Amino acid sequence: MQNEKFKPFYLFFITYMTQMGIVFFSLPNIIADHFGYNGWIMIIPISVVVLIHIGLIAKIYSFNKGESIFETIESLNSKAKMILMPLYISLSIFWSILSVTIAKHYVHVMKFLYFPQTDIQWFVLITLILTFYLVTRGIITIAHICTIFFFLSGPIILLLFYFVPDFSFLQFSTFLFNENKDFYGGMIELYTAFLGFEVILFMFPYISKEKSGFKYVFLGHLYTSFLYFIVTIFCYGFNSIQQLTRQVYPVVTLMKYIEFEFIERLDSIIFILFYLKVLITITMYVWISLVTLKRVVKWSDNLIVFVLLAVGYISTLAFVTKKELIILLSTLTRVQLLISVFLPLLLLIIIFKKRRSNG
Amino acid sequence: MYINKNLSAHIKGRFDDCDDLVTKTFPELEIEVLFFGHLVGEEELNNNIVQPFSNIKNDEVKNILRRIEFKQEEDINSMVNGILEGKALVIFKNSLAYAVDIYVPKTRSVAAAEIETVIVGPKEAFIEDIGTNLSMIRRRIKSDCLKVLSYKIGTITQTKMYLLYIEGITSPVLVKELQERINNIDIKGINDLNQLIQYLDRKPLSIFPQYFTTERPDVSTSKLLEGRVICLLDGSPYSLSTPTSFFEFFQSPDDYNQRWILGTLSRALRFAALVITLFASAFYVAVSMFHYEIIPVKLLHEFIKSRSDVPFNPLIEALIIESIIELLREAGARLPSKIGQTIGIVGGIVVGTAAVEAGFTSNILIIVVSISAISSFVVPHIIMTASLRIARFIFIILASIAGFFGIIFGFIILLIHLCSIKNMGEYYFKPIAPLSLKDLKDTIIRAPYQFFKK
Amino acid sequence: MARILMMIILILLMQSGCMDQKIVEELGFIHTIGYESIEEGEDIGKLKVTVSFPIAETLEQQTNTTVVDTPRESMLFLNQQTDKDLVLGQVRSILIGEKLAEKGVWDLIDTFYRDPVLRPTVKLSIVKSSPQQMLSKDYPNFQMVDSVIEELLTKEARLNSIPEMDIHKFAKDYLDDAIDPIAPIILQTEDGIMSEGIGLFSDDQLRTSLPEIKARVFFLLTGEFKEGKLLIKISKEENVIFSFLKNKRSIKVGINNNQDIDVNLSIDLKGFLLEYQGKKDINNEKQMAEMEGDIQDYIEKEINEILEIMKEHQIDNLGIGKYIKRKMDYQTWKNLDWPKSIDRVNIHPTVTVTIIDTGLVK
Repeated sequence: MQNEKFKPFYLFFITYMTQMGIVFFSLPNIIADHFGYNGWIMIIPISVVVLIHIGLIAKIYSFNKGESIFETIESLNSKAKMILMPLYISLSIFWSILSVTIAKHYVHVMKFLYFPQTDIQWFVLITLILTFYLVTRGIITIAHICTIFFFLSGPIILLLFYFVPDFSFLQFSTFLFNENKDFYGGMIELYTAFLGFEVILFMFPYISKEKSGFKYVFLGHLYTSFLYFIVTIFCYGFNSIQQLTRQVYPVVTLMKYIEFEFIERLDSIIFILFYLKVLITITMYVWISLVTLKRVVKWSDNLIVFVLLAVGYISTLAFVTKKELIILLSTLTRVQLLISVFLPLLLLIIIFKKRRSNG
Repeated sequence: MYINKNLSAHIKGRFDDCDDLVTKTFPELEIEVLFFGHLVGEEELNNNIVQPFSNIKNDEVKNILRRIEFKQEEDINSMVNGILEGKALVIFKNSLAYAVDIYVPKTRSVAAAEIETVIVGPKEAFIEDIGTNLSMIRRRIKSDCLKVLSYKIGTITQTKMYLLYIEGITSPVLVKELQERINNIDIKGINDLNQLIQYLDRKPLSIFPQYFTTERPDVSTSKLLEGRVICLLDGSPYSLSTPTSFFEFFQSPDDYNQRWILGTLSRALRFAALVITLFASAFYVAVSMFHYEIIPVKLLHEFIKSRSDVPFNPLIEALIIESIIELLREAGARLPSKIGQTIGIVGGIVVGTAAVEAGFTSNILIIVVSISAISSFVVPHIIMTASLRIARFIFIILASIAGFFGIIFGFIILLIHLCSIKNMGEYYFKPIAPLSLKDLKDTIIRAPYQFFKK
Repeated sequence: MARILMMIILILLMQSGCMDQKIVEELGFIHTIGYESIEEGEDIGKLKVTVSFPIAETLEQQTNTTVVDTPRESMLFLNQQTDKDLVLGQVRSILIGEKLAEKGVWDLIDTFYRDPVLRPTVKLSIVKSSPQQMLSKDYPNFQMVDSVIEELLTKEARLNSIPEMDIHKFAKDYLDDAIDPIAPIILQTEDGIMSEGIGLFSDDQLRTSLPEIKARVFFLLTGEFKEGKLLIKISKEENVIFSFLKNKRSIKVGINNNQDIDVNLSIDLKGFLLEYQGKKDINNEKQMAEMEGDIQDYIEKEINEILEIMKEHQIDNLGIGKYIKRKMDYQTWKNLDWPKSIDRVNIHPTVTVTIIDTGLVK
């Protein structure tokens, strides 16, 4: 069956929507906590490193000529498939667990903020149903949905203008990274905030050929960086640094501050609207685990997604409290960070090997 | 089936018990004419049949039968069909049959559009006669590229249908696809184009209309020029166009006939109305059941004052009022327009005021529901309005289950659904998904015509 | 098939529903909360908590009071006293008794600041006397004292006689090591309430207060006072109401050998005379210049008094520390132990007054 393809500009929306997650709300706190005074500067170098990382993927894309990375891996050796099977299965289970954990984390925060008495599993199940519904529509629909969600949630950033009168450069001070705790841990934490771009690796066969189509991934990443940057700057200018290290979700507090004549406490609407973004992140990870598992089993998409979500749900069932979830999530994202570093490297090695053997 | 003898009896046998079949005989000429008196025009009958056959000799008959309007028929089925289509069948010597088309349907004349009214622009609307409708389109597109394909729908009704497209603009794949779907329709009969649409539907469970119907020939023409396919059905004062986009239902010819700023603003107004009609009541329910904290302090007192006497919870309250509005709308639609106004007054003013005074509902809800009802009428196409009404009820219920989360949940389902509908190979949510900046100029806004040039 | 299964799960889920229904008419929206410490009697040392919330039917406010050990308990006890379910999502202001404020308020503020239901824009003010009496007294002129308090605070803050202080700003200044927080003080009178200037905190403890006239000068120093009126008493016979249009404040810090810190506070005022009572001829240029000098002296005197108060209590409510912090490296700043070292800092205020016009009449 000929795959339907999407235009490369959708990569912008997909990259941005997958990268941006719940961490957006706590990012200023993470930065202030780990880097201390003027920690916002750290977003720039980390973003540049991520840019290089994406460059690696771009290189693979240009070598691969639209071929799926699975084919690249499997082309190395015909017998390799036997070894790869367990790898595929474990990867796809890992991603399904990761996505359910992301869902659970968001839902947990939402429950804590707005629905304190509701059972967390209720929200998780609803989220998984939505994910199921969206994933089984196929990558083209997902790309379209990304676009719509982008335009729906994009204008929210304009609300930052509300804080311009309260913004004070005096809060920044001239100290650099003083009072930091765990500088290197913070760098990893910040790096994981940018994760999500690696799903592009699995989309090669679905991107229609166009000259310099991959630039949209870079643009998407730059847009994410821009949002992270501007929101952190505003939080630094609006709060005192010591206050920032105490607020778990400084962006929620920021939004609570907005009061209009006809509506107040916009945070509830905006935070719940953010569900769209989180849903895309979850969907993308479920989708990559779907395409991975598809290399192994010949079931229908519906069945695979159902099984994956069920596996993810059951294996995270025991994690309920905030502390457990945060530990689980940070462990999983660190593993994901390793995967997203080593997978492209592995692919590059295979590609170079192939080129040499082909002369 | 070829029968050379006793043709007249055969045909009459087919029309056994059809007492409205008229038989006119010219015994001296051995000519028998069969037709339905109510399908043919009196004048045409006179000019083409009665007069030529009157006062002539036997040998002149053949000359007359050689005239262009006399078409020799050999198949008995086509003779029968000919009579049913308003032709007169002239049987000569009980063995030769000639069909003369003297069909003049008795329909109303072209009148102004009643549902899709515009402020500026042509007023005429389609009528029930397909020939007149086709002529209205032909009059507007004087080009040999306008192709018309003819079909018969319904095994019994044999309703005439035309499929129109412009060669060179419409993609041939589209025409082929639609032809295939039309050929696959297997029904006894059809009454209206809106029924036909439901047979063509590939997503029958969707609440959204997937084909665009209009009663305006000018809109149909512009759809043709945009590369769409148009269908006309006999007996139906509508035309169908496909592939359809969700946003077409929010366009009105007024947007194009007025200056572009006005057109753009009224489109913006319609999208605002879309949002209001979908979410206003649900928002009220969500706020009064879950998110009290978003009410500003100045409104808070009024809000709780109005809610304090109401015996129902906000969901029941909203559903009751919404149902009353639906009742009013349905009653208004079924009644003649003059009585309909009375219903509006009784329903809107008397019931509304009394409901609030009796402490049955809060007056804030009355305002919210009325605004969302008014907003739903801003959407120019009545079919879409109906879909939005259904969606609104779903949103109200979802809001009562989980507040804003419920609304967002429903909204996501709605968007995924809209994005996954495909109509004749084109996405329903075009040009937003798939995104096409070029087409956005003519959907969300209405840019000046100069901008459309390539 | 799987899709149908999902649909069934969905319907079942929807049945169970979400448990957080808060139907508006069943709630009592607390508008104002008052806290005070009990100074005498058997409950000494405990907290007295008063809440006021509007009653929809009559548009009046109801006040409930309870005595608790910690702020967290109060909601439980208060809820038992009313048919409504009391909620905190619409709290607009917090009143703290003077005595309690002197003991420290951070625990209280932190409780509020932590609670996701509360908005960070809740106004904070110190009440001389008791918040309970202030909230529960019947006032002849207004029905709902809680909203009157809120409006008074908003209005006075606009006129720059008290600060606009909410829990977010308080937490910001409290947690910041370069500034100490302030809060407005309000007073209960015979038939109403009135604002009484600014309370100055050291950390989270109320130390002293500034009366209204000094409060305006204080805002001149923070730069928040952009335009408005200022009553100036040059001497017993001479009174000036000076309305200024432009206030430019700049703070310059000079540090020599990490020890001598010089702060130059300069304020540049431009405005016109609204009212003058006295013997000077306001049309005479020479006398006008004299008057400018008088006003300068007066404001400088007031500023010096404020600075003296701050130095005496070792507090920095103006945020001079923020400017000093910018000129230092991290270690020096930490060693400085601000604001305890404020009396080591030399602050030189300079005020320039320019009278643009004296009104319509010669």
